[in-house]
Amino acid sequence: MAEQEHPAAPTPVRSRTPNRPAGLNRTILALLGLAMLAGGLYALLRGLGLIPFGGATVRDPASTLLPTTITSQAWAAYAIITCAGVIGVLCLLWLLAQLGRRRPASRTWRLTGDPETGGTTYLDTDSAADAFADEVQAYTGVHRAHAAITGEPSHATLHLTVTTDADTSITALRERIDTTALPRLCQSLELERIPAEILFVLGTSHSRLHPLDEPREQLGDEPAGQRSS
Amino acid sequence: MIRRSRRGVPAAIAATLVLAVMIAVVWSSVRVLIGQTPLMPVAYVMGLRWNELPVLIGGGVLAALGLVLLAGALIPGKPNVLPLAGQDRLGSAGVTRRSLSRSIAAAAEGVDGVSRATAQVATGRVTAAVRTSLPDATGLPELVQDAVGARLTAVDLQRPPTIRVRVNRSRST
Repeated sequence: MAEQEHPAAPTPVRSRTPNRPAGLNRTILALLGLAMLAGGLYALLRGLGLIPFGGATVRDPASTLLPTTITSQAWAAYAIITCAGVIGVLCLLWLLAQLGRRRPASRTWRLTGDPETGGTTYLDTDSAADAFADEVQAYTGVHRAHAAITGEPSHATLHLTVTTDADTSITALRERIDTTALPRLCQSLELERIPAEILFVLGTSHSRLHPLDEPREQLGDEPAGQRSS
Repeated sequence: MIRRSRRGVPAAIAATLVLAVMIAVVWSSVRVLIGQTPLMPVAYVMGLRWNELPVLIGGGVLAALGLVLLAGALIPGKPNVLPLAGQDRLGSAGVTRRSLSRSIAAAAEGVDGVSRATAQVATGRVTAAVRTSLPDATGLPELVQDAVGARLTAVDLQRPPTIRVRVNRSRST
């Protein structure tokens, strides 16, 4: 069950693939489950008179569920409404978190300045990621591509999700990304290399006739890698 | 690259149920405040004792459900994403299990004589079940195996799976 580590990577920090809200869900479900388990066990034990501590009422299994001294006072209703309202809103937020886009917030990196003019270049990682994704999306056999860049410049990771057409060769596509799009991205980020996590979703659509099928540049952008399987 | 279940469906169900309960509680409390009878049978609940059957059964059910939730949260679950071979400069790559099984089924369906195919992807093994109406299906399993194998080669999983083919002959109606 090993997560993939990057052998010989200059930045040995293991990146977290954005898989939100996995952590949130599991934490809340665990807490909820624990509370329910504890509550249920308590009810069972108390109903059977097995609780070894507490006052006389607690030990008596025949005591009522709710203390009889609570009358329906107004403050009780207000308190209940407030608590239930807060919990309800949290539930809504939790529900909405299931739908959210998985892209983490973009950052602005400060790149090396231009020594001549003395200015600094700022780069929005989102736009770099978008440009990269657009380039990949234009490849034959790619139906859709979406990218995000996480982390500081020294520990950055590229997350790419590619939905392919039917019958696309993944190995050829990886090769093409590696030799063409990735170096270009590294160049614009002013990084020598960037660890990439790529998620492929094999689609079933059949390739459309793409006007960009012809290689746009002759820089070793070989369509030979696109031979069908 | 491996990714496991986000437990999104249990989370959505739990959130919806709790939300519904909270709405009911708020509504009942509001009704009590404005003097109307609350929707929930408050008098009945207030008369309940701990050792009565509804409470005991409720407690048991609550504990059981809590255990299920806890287990679901703690157990990692089957991977949604299977790693691809070759951890090179690229870092890591993976393919979703669901899309892979769809793709393999499509590859199997491309074989002549196969009318329908489904595929199951487990770590280390791929099972393709095909349906054919051919009277004589000799040689079909090998063809399907070849087609599936070719597809898997083009994907190149880190752990190349063994391929199993199951052929169901369907009688044409």
